[in-house]
Amino acid sequence: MGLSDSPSRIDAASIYLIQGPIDERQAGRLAEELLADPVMEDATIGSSPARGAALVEVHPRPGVMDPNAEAIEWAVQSMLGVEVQVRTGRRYDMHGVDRETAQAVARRCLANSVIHAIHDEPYHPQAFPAGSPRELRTVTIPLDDMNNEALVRLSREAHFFLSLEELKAIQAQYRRLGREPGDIELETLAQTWSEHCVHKTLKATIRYRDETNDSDRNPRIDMRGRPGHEINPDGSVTIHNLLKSTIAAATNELIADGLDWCLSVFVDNAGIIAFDEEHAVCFKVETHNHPSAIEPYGGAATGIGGCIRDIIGTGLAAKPIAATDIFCVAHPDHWRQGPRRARRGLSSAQRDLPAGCLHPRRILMEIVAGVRDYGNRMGIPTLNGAVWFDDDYVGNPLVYCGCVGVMPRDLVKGDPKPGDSIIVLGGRTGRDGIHGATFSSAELTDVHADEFSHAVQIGNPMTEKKLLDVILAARDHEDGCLFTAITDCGAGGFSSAVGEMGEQLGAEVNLEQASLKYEGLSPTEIWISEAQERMVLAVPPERVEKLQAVCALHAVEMCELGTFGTDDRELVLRYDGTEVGRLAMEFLHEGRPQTTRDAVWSPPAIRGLSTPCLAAGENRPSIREALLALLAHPNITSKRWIIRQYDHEVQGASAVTPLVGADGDGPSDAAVILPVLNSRRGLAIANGLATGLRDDPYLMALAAVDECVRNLVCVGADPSRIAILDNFCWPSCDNPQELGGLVRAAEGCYDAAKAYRTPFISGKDSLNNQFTTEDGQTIKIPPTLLISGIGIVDDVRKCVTMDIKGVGNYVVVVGATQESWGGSHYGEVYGCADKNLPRVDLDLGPRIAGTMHSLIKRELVESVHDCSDGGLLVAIAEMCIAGGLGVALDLSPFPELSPQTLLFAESPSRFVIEVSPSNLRAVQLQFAEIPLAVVGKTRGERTLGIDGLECAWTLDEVSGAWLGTLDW
Amino acid sequence: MGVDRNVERRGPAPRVMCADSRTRLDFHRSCQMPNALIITTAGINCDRELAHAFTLAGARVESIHLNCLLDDPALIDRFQLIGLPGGFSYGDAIAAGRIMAALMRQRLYPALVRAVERGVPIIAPCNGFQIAVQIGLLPGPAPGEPWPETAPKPSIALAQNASARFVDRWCRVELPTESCCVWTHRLDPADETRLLPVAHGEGRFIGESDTLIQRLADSGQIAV
Repeated sequence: MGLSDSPSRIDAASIYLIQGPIDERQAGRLAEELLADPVMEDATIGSSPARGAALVEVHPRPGVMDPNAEAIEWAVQSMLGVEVQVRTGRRYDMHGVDRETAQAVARRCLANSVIHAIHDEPYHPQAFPAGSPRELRTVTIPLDDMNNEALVRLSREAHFFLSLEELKAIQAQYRRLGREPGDIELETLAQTWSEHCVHKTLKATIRYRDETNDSDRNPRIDMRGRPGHEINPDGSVTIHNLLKSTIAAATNELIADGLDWCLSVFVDNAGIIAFDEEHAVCFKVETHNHPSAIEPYGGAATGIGGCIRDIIGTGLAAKPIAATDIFCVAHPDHWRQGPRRARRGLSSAQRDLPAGCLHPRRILMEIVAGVRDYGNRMGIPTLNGAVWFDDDYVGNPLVYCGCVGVMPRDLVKGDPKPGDSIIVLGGRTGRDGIHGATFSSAELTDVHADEFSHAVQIGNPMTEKKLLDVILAARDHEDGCLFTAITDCGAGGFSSAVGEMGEQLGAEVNLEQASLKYEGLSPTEIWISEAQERMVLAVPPERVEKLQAVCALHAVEMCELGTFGTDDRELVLRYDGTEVGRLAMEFLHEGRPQTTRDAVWSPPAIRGLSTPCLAAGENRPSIREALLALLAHPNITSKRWIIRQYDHEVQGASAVTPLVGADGDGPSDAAVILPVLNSRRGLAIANGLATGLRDDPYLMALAAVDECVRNLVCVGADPSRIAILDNFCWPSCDNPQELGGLVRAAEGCYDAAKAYRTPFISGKDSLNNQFTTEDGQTIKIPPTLLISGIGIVDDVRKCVTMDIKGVGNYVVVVGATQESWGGSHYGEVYGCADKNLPRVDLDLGPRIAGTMHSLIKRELVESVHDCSDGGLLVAIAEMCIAGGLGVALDLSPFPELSPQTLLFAESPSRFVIEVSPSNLRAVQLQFAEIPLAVVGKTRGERTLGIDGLECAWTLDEVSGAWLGTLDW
Repeated sequence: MGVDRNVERRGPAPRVMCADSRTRLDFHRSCQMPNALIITTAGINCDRELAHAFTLAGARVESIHLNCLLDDPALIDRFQLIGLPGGFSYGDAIAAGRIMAALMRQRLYPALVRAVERGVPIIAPCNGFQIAVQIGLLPGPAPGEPWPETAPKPSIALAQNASARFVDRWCRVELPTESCCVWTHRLDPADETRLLPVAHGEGRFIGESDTLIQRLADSGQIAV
């Protein structure tokens, strides 16, 4: 914990503060029959005397979601028939520490001051804080007189984060209208035009200059003939709408070329593909980085909660069936927190944690807990993920949350009709989460925790689970689907949900109709609140009553906020009949000025060095030592500690889970689920992340797509039925260099998607991921591109896992090994000077994937594993650990490669397979045109050894190294 | 830092238990197409797969929301098979299954005991098990003894896991040679490959007395 003293013991207790008309006897009954377990707990009414030297109580701050309180209120009402209000808290009696230390322990481990109040004595308020009604005040903001400087100041101070050009366009619009904008109108524009909602960087016109010399080491991208790209006389390239000209273009070209299973791409909350004749599946991955930096538990939980709502809000509602999570954080052991070195094992290599950052260990533990508590409570298996460690994530961790859904094929599209009611279901609206969309579009600083605490929220999975139950019941209603369109209330709240749904029709909204958590919200606050667990539906008026009945059974709140459709396609906002805002949908959605941005590519000087990696023979680590060090590397080490906290069995549809093998500790390349329980058809889910290749985002994108495809193919997915998603997390792209990297990544996505014939169906970007410390230093994250994929498995009975299955089988490596060390883990650990990055062969890679699939289909392989982080030897060691069997390696088929290169280089497009002797000939024939070599044989002896190199490990040694690092 | 929760550690929790020997029922012979009840409420999330399993086994399945049963407990009387599914009922607020158990204990205990006495098999995995324990349905009276008229004070509890967090993993399970459990009594105890997934945050078995587990074992009330 980085503290000088630790408590010798802590007694913990739950606290329930109950406000309402109950007497002593009823309180006793609640304590006995509801609040305490009769076998193992004691209940005290009031406060028990202090048991330790110091007492700490942690309570949620007023207005912060207390997810259990609502359920307890309901239980009390059912049991006693009286209405009460409940707040919960935790009490810790600490032994062996003073008050100061106890407070420090609480701040460091038990509470986050953004959302919690820490007390040093029992907290017993006379009454809960409550809101009070307020009078309606409409606020107009006089833009007309503002000069540029004043506009910029307004944007910053009001947290609009709009650019000067955008503010001037708004100023001009209101001059044309001859009036000043209301604050609610500016807020609506700021939300709708935020980077988060509209992706203005990826949709901008970009002028890209490549200032490098073309060479093998530094390949120029051939920009000729790419859609939406214009080559200028000076050699620079103008790209009209980067997203449309690269990622979407690849999908459109594939569709034009006959790919017929994409049902909805880039337009809805998630991309949708055909699953079988009757069903479709959809997939979306979101990021929730900035909230997770400040309050990791709530940030991650609401991240997965929001992504699940995206799936529920796709088409006419999909049922969420799987979740994914990928985290990027700083190395937990590299950072020191607190005034002195108080913990054993601190090395001098540790750096001081910048002010305003939470410790990476705490961040990782809490984001895992957040995903766990939300995903598990929703009953959605979390089946796939990854963790990547890099110290540049210290101030700005990345939290990617994904969700897969299944739906009937005839419900993939919804459209509101004029006259439909705007119905809000689920949670109440509060002041929480205001400015989330604009906050996520800004860069972080050391004071963000104070400035943006209102953007951080705690989720309530119960509310969302009930919401899901109601929406599926309304979708599958005996009278047909009760709604014509649905979307989630995410960033921007009602403002973006209603604004987007009503884009073509206009909408009239009565803000006083929203059900509120407490009184006193202004109309603007109601309109832009990002309170969680709300969905907006368009419901034909004659069906509202039926929906109301469904809601009543499940005890879900519903309110009617207004109607879709106005004469002039306007958004009209009223409060108690008074108009508080009026915006033309056309200006709101199309009025944003198009910008041209400059992008430059001039690679870091460190690239292009050609010193052979292993020149200094004496310093070369032994292969024995290197394998153990790599297996213990945090990127490679087992993520069992995380995976086992997630339910991956719920819904009873998991065919291949994230942990496979004899003892359930093998890392599966992908998960496979059965979206339709009585069919054998499966869906594989995987991801690819190649942040090691950050020095050239073009190569990084190729490698990420390649890895994602391989992971899916490994378990049995058909590579001709794989759909992928892009999630860019980048530092500020106001910097032309960073934008240059982004352009290269997008071009890589285009080339890889076309080569592998894997359409992008949806995506999301999060820019401005950097952190400015109190002394003004900016820590930029590595440019990070996550590729997530789903692939169809024809018959899950033919799925293959990566654990070695039998004795006496051949171990075969498929694909070419390149001598390049840039981005490799071996290079990182042992400091290779060679920074050459491996490059995916876009002809060979797809051919290998296709051939591998036909082998799996013909049941010619016993096990398959992708060869990625750590290289070939790590992949084989993982297969041994998973299968509990040994392998004898023989490197003689590769006389031209050094053992280090063969064993540790991280060349793309390679697989390791286990083949029985009787199938070897058939496998070799199938791979006739593809590099392939037998490198060893499996054996019953529990050792991994390399013939001729006097090098061997017991399986206990390798699994000890691999399981030890993240065994928290 | 040691956190003492004032509870002692015992072995892993059995996942499935039956009430007592009178629930033994020759399922395949006596009912061709039983009506199966699945009780759901806010936060229950394994109801669909339990319904799928019941259907595969030949039952006609109806999922009924707890709110409807609380209003009309006699609805239970028309079923020949009951499932309390897994999930996080009411978010597992207070403790796993606590609120659902408190409500069922208060209003459904007589109807559930009537069902048990009719010989209706009840399966209660996961959250269902945590709920059945807290209702007072498990471990149930010793063979030969009658069911109490009102819900008995629970004699066992499922404490937070020793790791203090939710764990999902596949476990090898042992079957007792003598079991009165309708769900496991015909399975071969010699089969060592038997695996079950466990997935819970509160599954550490605590008995009110040291002799409880022995008593349960002696009377065949341990299912796995």
